[in-house]
Amino acid sequence: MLGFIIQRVLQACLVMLVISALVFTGVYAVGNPIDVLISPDATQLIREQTIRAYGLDQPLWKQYLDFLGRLARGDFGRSFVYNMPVLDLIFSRLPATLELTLAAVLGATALGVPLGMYAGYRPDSPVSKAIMAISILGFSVPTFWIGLVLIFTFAVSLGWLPAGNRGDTAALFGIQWSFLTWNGLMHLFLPALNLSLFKFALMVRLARAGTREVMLTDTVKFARAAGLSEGTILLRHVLRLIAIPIVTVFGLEFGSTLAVAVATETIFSWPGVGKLIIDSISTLDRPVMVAYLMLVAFFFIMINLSVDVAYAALDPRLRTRRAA
Amino acid sequence: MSPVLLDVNGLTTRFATRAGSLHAVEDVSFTVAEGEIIGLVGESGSGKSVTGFSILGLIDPPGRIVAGSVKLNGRELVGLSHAALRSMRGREIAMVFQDPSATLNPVLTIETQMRLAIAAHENLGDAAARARCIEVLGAVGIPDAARRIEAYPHQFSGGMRQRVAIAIALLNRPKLIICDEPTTALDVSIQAQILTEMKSLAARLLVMYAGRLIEAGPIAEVLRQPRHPYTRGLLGSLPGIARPGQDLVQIPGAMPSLIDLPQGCAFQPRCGFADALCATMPALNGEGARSFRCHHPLAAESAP
Amino acid sequence: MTEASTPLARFWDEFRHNTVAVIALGVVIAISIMAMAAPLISPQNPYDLANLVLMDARRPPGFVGSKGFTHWLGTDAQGRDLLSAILYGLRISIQIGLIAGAIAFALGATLGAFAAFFGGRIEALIMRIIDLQLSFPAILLALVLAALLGQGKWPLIAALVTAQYAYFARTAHGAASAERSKDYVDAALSTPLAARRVVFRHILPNCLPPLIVVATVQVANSIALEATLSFLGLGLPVTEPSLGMLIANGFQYMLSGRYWISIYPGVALIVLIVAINLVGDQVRDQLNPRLRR
Repeated sequence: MLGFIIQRVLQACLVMLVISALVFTGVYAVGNPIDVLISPDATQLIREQTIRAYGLDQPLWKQYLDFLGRLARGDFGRSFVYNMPVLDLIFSRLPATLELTLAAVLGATALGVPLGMYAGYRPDSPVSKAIMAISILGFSVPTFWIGLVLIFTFAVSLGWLPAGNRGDTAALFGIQWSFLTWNGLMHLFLPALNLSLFKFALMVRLARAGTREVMLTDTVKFARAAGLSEGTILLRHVLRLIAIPIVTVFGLEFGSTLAVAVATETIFSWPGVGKLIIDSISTLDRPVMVAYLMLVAFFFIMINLSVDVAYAALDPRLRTRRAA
Repeated sequence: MSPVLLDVNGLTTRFATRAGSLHAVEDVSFTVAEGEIIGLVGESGSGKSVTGFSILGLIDPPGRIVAGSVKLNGRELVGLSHAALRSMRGREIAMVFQDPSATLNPVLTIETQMRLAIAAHENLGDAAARARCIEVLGAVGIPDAARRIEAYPHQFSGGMRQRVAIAIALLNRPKLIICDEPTTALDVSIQAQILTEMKSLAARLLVMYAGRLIEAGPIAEVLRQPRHPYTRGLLGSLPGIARPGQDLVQIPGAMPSLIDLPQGCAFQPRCGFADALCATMPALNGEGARSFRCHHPLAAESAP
Repeated sequence: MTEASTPLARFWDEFRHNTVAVIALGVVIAISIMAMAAPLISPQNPYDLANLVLMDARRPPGFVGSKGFTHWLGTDAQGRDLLSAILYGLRISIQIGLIAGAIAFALGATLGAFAAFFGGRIEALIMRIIDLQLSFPAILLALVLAALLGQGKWPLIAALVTAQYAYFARTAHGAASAERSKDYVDAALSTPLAARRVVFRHILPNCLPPLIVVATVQVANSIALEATLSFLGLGLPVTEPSLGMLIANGFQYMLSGRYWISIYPGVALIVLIVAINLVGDQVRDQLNPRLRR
């Protein structure tokens, strides 16, 4: 198991190197960030000084090596726009996104898996058909449009919930969180609901498909023949058998949501990293784009790794195969 | 003779399909006495498994027991509530399936699976439940049961896995065990081993074809002297019975679709003796301990 | 039971038993025809700026405009007739979804099938890249690419294809690997046929069922993805608003209660995507061998 993890970590380092080169070249191939950095009426002298200060006069490979050198010391550079270390900038925005994502993915799983299992267990009942209809909607409707509808319904028309921002926050471990205050919780609700709809639909489908297949197997028939109640069969046998794809998707969705809460954060003015990346794309804030993409890549590699480890924990067959 | 344990009478199970009603089991009647072992043979699709599932009340929609009765110790099982059937399953009638690698849950330990089966019927303490599991595992011949009980199914060989499945079936000391081809998925040598231990020499043999019983009788007699042409064809196709050097005899044709059965005897399209009379369904005629469903039974020779 | 003759006829015979899927298919066809015929049936050409009357901007549904016709779904911030804008927007969305889906299909299926066919290093390399790419969310890739390549139809399609070809490649690879080990491939290879021909004529056709399932999902996805990118301002130019951009433009007016500018284009988008997904669901169920018993 340890050898397996070490091998995977080495692999991950190599992948990160390749990604850093790709991202760096890609991001630096477009646009001229000078226009962002200085005002159009600056003198030629200031212009050249700025270019030199940011190393923009160097050839691309040299810039990349410099970047790698700084990276090795944990320095991602400074944001052109915010004029602060990129890493600080990203980490100041991360808790907001983390909080939103966790609320969305946890909510979607806690609700989606039981409903999906029911729909798979009784595929022909009207309740199941209603669950599937909601899931198809959640799967099909673009997140950003649902966000608009939620704002229009609950914030504009009914006035029950706030339409944007994080609201009041309270500190825990030195970080500000919205979910610790009532006001913050109210602010968190709509964006989290918005973000969770797609994940909910996904969990329902996964749980339903898994349950449908498992219910037809001899494992279930044998358990029934031994007199187990349907509840025990669903909870102890079926849930364990469908857990593997669900855990995978949970991990991957957690990762992808963390990376792409862009639309939701934009609509609800949620000050997270998604909003940051969209802003940095439109302002050509290269260091932020590069650092963000690399962090996302790193993040995904870590998630894939932990999903693999979780697999081994959930499927004893894999455990012995690797130990052998 | 021992008292009758199971009395199946006129059992008829059908599946509603888009193409029509599938007659999986038609008018099947037989009894099993306490301590008796009976064998049910027939091609795949002849209704053996469905008969077993019908007895357990495990027919899922679109399937349904449309007629007949199943009595266990005189108590009618057909029409019982789900809850009553559930508490009967495992405790009074248990079932072992073909392929142990498909029946055992790969992600739960043997102990967990056995404990779930006990907990379905009895509230034993932790220690007592574990002790019962180890005891039964030992009884079916799992060596070092106290340690092996924590293993997962994939850590057992195929034969051992089937023993585990049998142990689970035995856990609640059922009066009747239905074994649905318990050795089909195993190696031939292991098949022989398990069958020997299950005392495969059943006292009575029932032969099914296209959902109906077509012949029944004491096993030695049926094997030596089949009365139904189908039984003879079936025996002729067995490697163990054919003479060395001779080709195995195949029954021409294939079993008819259970949705679209021929008029009368279902075997008639494949039967060399068929005539106009066979368009009517023959009754299951008894002759002493023997019975057969045929208008033109093979001759009962007085001396072989 | 009537025995239909061709596989396609048998497929349809089963398909038509699902009323919902049949209705959905009808909706997809109807929307496609309406979108194709947009220039003929829409009351106004929304791209012709000379045609727009600013006085008529942001009017509610049912408003009779200065040109004398009724704006059944209201008008947007530029005074466009929303119904016309939606029809034209659907046209763009479907066009882009189909083109991106087709290119991703062709590229991905070819890559996946060849990887499975050749095996060894080539296979390992191709599948590594694809696995790596699949571990990133498609929308993030599309987002970055759309930002890098700039606005316009083809950059957008390139971004969508990059985000989606990997799903086809993975599916084709899985199916083709299974096919590769079958005897008929060896039989075909023992004849003097070029490898390319074996892949395209023998292996790929047998991988079609799972690829078709992926294709329905991916066309719906690329339509939704295009709308999301356009909503975030990374898609098509403002002069030819797609559905996503119509919704984005209406967003700022929603807070003041002018819901129709955003809602109606969204409804059109959703009806289309839901219908495609419903058809896809039924196709998947019919092609899934594990549910056949």
